[in-house]
Amino acid sequence: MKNVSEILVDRILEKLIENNSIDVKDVEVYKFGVETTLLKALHYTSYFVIALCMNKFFEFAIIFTIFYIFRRNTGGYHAQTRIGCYLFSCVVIFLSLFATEFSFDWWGMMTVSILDLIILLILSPIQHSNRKLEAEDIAYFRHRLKIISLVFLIVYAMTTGMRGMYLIELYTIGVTMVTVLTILGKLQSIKQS
Amino acid sequence: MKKGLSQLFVRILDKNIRKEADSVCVGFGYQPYMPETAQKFKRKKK
Repeated sequence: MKNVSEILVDRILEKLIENNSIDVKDVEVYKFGVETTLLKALHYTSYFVIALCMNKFFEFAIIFTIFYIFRRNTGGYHAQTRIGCYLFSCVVIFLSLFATEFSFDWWGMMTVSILDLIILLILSPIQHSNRKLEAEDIAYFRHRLKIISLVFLIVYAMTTGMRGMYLIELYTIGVTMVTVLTILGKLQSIKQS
Repeated sequence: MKKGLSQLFVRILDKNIRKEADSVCVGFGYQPYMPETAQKFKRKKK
């Protein structure tokens, strides 16, 4: 039996075919497109609401940017169901914003960030069963992660030079969030194999 | 108008599929099954 989101996706696809906006032979790929677009819209709206409720929109923008740039190249943990993933993601956003209430010393943050990068470079990319990666994709994402890590370190050093300690804290929370999800993703893939 | 909106929506979908084909996974949330055609999407378009 189809759930509400599957029915909604099917209705949208039917309308797009009726309007001749997509070809019938492309239904499979557009089904994927519609589903990810709707899920993203729901998730991002919820994160904005959480950030606004916590009055931490600036923090959210920095942490989420760092997180998203890395996550596109590392992969990591995904819950098995849509609702599970939604709730888990909202909790992660809430916890990362809540972590900004605490202050950490620079050496501690620097050590954690370096360890995070080392772990990410070793473990990534984490392959999900719904997203197959070819060998050339893996090499490409690894290469891109190395460049991003280098740029991250340069920005980190420049921000330290400008004494932007609060920003350093936000960078550290963002990269630590990615690392935790990458480790969980690795454990998930070991468990499934 | 309706046709125009549909085409705009398809353009958004195209960009999203291309972006996902260029990522290890969706950033947040559930990872839907990505068909082989989506994985080749970016390369086919170029």
